[in-house]
Amino acid sequence: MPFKKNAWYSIDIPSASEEILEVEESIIEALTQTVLTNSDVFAVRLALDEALANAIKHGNCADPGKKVCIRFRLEDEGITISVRDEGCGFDYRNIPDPTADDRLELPCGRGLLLMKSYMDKISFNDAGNEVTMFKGRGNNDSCLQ
Amino acid sequence: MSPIKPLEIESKQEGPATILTLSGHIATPESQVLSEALERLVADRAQKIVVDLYGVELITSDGLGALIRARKAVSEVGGTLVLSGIHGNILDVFKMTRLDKIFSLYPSVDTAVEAICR
Repeated sequence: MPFKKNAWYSIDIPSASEEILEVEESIIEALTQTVLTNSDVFAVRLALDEALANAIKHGNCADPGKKVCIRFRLEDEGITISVRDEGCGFDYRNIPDPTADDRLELPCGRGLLLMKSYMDKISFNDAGNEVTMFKGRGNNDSCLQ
Repeated sequence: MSPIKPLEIESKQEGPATILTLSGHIATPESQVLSEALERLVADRAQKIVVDLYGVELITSDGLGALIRARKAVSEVGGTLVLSGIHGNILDVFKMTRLDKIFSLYPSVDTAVEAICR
């Protein structure tokens, strides 16, 4: 389907990980109408998957009665995506560094690092239950910083 | 990146080594499938495991977590789990998360098998 530039599109899903794929397919389809490169699309899907997984598992505690609300907007320079859950939020300023030597072997805790690393801008609302991310074309050099 | 590709998993035996070949995308929905495949190998007492990621085009933190859990479980019973074929965007993810410091990475399945069966 054609997506209009600068218009917000919304998708609400129940809190179940099997719902993630449909959202990602919709947004990847939308990305084909932007200037983003394949590497940018990789970055967006990675960050989006992390945001959705966090919202479902940590925000809504996988309660299928709670929704995750996704909004996205195609812009001339890229895409803005926000993901909001119905949880009470978290303190995104005090997340342990998963690259610290003593945390390297832990199987979890890398989602926020990946989101921050692969998107150009990322912010949270005050409550900490909504993340908004922007990705523009070709800033992939930042991925390894 | 290509449109969403389902995760495909193939398992084969090469002498004492078990090769798990992955291709496609390992995002949150597929990570559980990967976890179950790795848990089966551990339950079957596989001691020398090579997970080949050459065909993987996306891996998220849940997929990384599945690999870390499997590595630990294999290690606890005296076995070894190594990775092969990681390149491009996937290698970047491993470097960014510093998981290249805890996993043994090999360029190909052959080099990995040679190393763990030495």
